[in-house]
Amino acid sequence: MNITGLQELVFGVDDVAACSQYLIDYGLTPVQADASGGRFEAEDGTAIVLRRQDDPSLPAGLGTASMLRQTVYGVADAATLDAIAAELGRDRAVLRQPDGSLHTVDDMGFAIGFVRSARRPVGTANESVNGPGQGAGRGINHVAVDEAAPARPLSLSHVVYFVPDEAKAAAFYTQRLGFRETDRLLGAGGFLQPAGSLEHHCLFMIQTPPFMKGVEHFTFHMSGPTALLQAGYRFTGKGYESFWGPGRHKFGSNWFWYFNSPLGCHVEYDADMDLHDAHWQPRAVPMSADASQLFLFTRRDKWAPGGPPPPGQAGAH
Amino acid sequence: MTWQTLCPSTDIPEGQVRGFDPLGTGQSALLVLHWQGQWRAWQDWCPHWQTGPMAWRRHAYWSGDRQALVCHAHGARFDPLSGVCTLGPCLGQSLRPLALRLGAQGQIEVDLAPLIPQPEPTP
Repeated sequence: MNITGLQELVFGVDDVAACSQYLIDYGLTPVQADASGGRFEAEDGTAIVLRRQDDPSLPAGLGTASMLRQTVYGVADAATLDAIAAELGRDRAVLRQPDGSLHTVDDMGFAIGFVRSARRPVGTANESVNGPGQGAGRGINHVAVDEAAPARPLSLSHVVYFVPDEAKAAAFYTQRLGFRETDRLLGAGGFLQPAGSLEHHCLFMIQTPPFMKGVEHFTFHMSGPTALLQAGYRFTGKGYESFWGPGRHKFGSNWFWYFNSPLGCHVEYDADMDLHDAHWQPRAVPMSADASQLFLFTRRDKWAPGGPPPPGQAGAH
Repeated sequence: MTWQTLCPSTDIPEGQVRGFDPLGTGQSALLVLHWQGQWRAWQDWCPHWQTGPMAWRRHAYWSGDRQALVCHAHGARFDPLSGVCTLGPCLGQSLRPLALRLGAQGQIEVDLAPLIPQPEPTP
């Protein structure tokens, strides 16, 4: 199954205006957005889609507080769509729309869809760094710091679910859709990578009681840690509430910064995720604060050493 | 008891909620609600992952329909006056209250004692 990654996540929300402003301030670009919802795209066209929670065109909700209504994956070609339709059609209804897209549910009841991947090329360069003994990491006389840098989300990275039966949930993706487990946090869940991607994961599922079922967070890739920190610093400066981070995960090595949101889940920036192929040997460690992160920092307002101004100068006490 | 004056009650009109950071941690530690003629002070702490803050933006605790306080970590909805979670990952659990009183000048006063870390007992 040549599934290449996430294409879009569809939410049914109770406050379209607040969610729209949130996603714009997060850095996504609104496309066809109005009071009924809209599409909010990263640089490569992957997106969050907002609809009103009572929009009849949406798949059914999960019956919990979760506002996620569909997870849509991109696939490489029409043959993959045919293969998915044949495989999943054996035990569930699979709706094929005139545009060729497929719509069904996974074994936990999450609505899922599949479309021909339509990612645009990313023009923003990845972060480059200079270091001793390795030559120039970026061009000579190229200044790294740009206070006006866009620091925009580039591509939809991954989604995390709360599920009541993680083993069964993961088996659906690994046994029916060809995902691979790259690593596992014991007591939480496994990181899943579709066959058409090298990224450490695009799906992670955490075992919880049934009434918690839903989305825990989603995140977009940034061009590197500087863009992640710059975007997060701006976001907090606009009054948005940091929840966890900035820091760097161990499994996947991705930098992270999580925020609360009006979409009923956390929203994250991530950067610099590991790539793995079939030669990778999955790791497994018990879930803990130490296992989940290499380090963790907390945002603070800008400050610099130097002490108070000399006596007699403006601002002196 | 560690009573602290937060603001004049006129700063929080009917239907409004506001977060406060009286300990200077950089994020709000409590929220004060004025709703249906009543006042409540809740710790800015969700029983689901036993942490906060709950707002998605400073002072933004309401649900879209403004009928519930919401933890915007995972969407848990709480009855504004009882503090009980009515939908979401901490169903049936409750927000933690703080004692609140209106002072003689109409100011809002809250007992911060539950928020102040207790020193480790000396051996």
